[in-house]
Amino acid sequence: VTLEGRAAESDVPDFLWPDVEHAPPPGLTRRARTNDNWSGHVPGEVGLWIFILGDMTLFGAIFIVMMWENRSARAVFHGSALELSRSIGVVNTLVLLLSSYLVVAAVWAHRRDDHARSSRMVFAAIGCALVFAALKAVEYSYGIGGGHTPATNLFFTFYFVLTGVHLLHVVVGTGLLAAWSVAMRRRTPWNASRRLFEGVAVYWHMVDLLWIAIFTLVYLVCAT
Amino acid sequence: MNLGVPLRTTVIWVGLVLATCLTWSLGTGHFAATESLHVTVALAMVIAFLKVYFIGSEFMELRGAPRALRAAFLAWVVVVGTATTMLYVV
Repeated sequence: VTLEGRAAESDVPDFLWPDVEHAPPPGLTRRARTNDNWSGHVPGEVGLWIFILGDMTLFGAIFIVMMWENRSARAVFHGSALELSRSIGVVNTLVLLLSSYLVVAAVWAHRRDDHARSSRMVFAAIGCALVFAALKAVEYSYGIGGGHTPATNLFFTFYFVLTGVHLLHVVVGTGLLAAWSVAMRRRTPWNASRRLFEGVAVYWHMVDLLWIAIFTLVYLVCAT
Repeated sequence: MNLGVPLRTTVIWVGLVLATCLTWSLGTGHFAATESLHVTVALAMVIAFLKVYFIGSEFMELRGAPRALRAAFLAWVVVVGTATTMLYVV
């Protein structure tokens, strides 16, 4: 029975599995999903989630302020947002979605202590991050070449702050993925640093989900 | 190619990719300030925050996380999604 098959067969108690050390995390089984507020599997650790949710809240607040300002300056936002390359934005969304899937695949491979496959997946995800950063550099060079800076108008202030801070997250996330790949080269077992590896994956998925919101609001909504 | 990812996660990922391709047509189309465009864009916002929810529940594995954590994440999606969509629509 494969690992993912076991996750699907979550009604089977752990003790019936021949090698429980390869069981999926308890949180992924239906049994663990109780009405108790605190039971279940925390991906990574609680401290990480305080940071993740805090970071997301900061971005969320900027999104709301931007949409508020958009109401009173629709013409400026509309004209400015139309100058952004929506095609690059969509491609970057797909690139980050692919990277997220590769990170999920890396987590599952590492859970099986299949370091070779896990390492390949993480390297591919790092490749996606580099493509994202390269496309972002092209976009910035066109924008700045076209005379747009954070001081041009309020829209471009939001644009450069949101995409700039997000790019910083991409850089940090890439560094974390690289650290994970080093651990895999040393053949660190999953159970030895489970919280760290899950934390890296969660951070990367946050980078992905924040981009989805940035792309929709900045490139699409403000342009209409 | 089997990457060892649960089928459910793969299906949701394909859905996320398809939803992104759907917004591609919006992203490359010519924008005219019509009533139907505003409805379409509002729909795109709802889809975007649904995508965010699925990334959290499936990729971040919040689906099996303690209820308090799931609730905190869901609260972000609902509050930020509703506030931004309402500020655009109303």
